[in-house]
Amino acid sequence: MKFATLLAITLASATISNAQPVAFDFKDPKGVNNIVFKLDAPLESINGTTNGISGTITADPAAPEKIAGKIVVDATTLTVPNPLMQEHMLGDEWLSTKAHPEITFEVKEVLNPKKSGNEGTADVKGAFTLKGVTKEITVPVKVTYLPGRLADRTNGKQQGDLLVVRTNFQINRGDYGIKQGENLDKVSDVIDISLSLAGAAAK
Amino acid sequence: MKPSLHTAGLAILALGIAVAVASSALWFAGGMNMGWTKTYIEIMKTDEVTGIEYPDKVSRFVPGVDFLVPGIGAGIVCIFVGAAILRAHRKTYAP
Repeated sequence: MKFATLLAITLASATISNAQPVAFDFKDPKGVNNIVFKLDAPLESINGTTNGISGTITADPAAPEKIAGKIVVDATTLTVPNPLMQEHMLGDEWLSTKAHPEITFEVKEVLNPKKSGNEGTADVKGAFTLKGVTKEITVPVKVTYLPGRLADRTNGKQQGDLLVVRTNFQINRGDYGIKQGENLDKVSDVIDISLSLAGAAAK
Repeated sequence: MKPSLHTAGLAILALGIAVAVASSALWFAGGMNMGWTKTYIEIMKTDEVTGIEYPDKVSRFVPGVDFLVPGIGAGIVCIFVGAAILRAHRKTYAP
């Protein structure tokens, strides 16, 4: 019994010490990765989405606090179901996507990491850039590591692992120079943002 | 000239009714959407491998109140203009 326990501890230690950070690519050809944003408005809330997501997150499955990397969103791919609203949203007065075509979040620090099996949670502090304005924010992140599941997603064409990242957080559009203090009767200042992303690390 | 004014009044009146009825009919057919007009709807799906829920966009025109109100408004304006022309015509040619 003692020998078995000792062996298990040794193997676990060896696994952890040998674990290397793995780079997960978040460009998703299947179009499943998505970001949903929501703003309250008097008639109905404005709900938009995007699949124009790319970026790389480097994660050590054995040490969740070692997450690093950057998620990039092509701002021109943000869509809302109303065409006129879409035109205004991407235009110069709101997101000004011609001048600022990217929205980014770069991981700076991982706080309060907790690991349970293949899942982990943490508060991720990072630099969020929107419309050319960068602010440091902290978002609660849930990470699920799916070893060997890339093959299931690519019909066996690629072997590798998947990393699923989920987070919900809020920002104030005024903080990023988007009509600060204006049109508050039409569109709320607060934007609810939900990210559901899967990154792939081919072997 | 005189009968054509009467015809124009009738035509504008009919156009107004048609626009108002068509706007209302399209709005009813689109599910009486009390929000903004949409050119697509989203159906939520779940990726089997990752468990990620994602919106699948389906092209569909769903008229909203921003479609209904201008439609009915334009129809009412046409009805009033048509009726005014017919009334003026009737007064002019009343026995």
